[in-house]
Amino acid sequence: MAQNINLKEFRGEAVRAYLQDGLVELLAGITFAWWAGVFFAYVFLDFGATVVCWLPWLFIMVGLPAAKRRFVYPRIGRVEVVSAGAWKMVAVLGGLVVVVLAVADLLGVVVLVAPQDQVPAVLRPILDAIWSNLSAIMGIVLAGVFVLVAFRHGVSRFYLFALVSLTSGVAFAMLESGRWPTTPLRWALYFAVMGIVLMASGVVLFVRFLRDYPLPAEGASYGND
Amino acid sequence: MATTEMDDEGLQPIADIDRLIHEPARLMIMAHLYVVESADFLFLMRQTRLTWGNLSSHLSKLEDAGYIDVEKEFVGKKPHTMLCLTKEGRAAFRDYRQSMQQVFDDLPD
Repeated sequence: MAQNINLKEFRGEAVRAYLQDGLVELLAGITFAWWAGVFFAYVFLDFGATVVCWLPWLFIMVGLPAAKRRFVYPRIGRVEVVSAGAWKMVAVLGGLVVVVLAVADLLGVVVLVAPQDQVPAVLRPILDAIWSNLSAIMGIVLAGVFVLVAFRHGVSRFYLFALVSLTSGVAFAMLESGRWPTTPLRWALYFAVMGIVLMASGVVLFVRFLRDYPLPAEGASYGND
Repeated sequence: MATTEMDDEGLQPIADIDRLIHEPARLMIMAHLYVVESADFLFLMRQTRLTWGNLSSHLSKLEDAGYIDVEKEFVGKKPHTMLCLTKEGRAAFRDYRQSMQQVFDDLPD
């Protein structure tokens, strides 16, 4: 046993081991794709159902542990890197995303639907600016989260996700569409790009994980009994 | 007296070193468990590169000392063991780190 004791590196190893199966990215990608679908439905079918945006959380809460139990734990074992306190933080962050979507809905109502004279003149340009740049704001915030994880735990592919989030968020904020509602279309495109990138990365990692870590022979106990 | 003579008081922390943790394999186990919330036997075996028997034996000693909590559960029909540091285990590991740092900080160049 000739390993150095480096707690920071051990923590990074544990986080990388937790993320190496790609399931988190796959499920996050599906979530983004779902949101893209919701906004595309609004843009092209005039079907406004952003209320169903929270549904993927249910899918992740049930699907992620089930997939980990089925495919990951028998191969490389189980590690819980997030403490109970930190899970509260994750729940708060998830809640924040829902709040952002709710604010976007509200802004949409104020900017698009409410009579002009009912919105204070001072607030109007600020609300307009936030509304039309929401995809850029989301892109920057999410890029920050990706960079933080990449920097703290050495998960280098997250730098790529940060770059995609930043560039697509900002680029789509500049998109103009004469025919369809522009801001929901920007959101839909941003979520679609992020969903595709995350799902593609998740699938590649998951396939590689299954190939690199075959199931142990039937009957092998590994001390779990 | 030579100026490089060690100060006995400065090395006092070495007497307080927790010998249970000081053993290299157990130190590795404690360090790996310290940075996570919990892990199972298979994960620890992979990370520490200890054999089944070695790991099992060291875990028993750490459990007897009250440093780790062993939780056995069934996943489907298969038994599964989750391990985590107890409050005492975390405190003991922190104390061990502090003691070791103090020992080396107090050593003359």
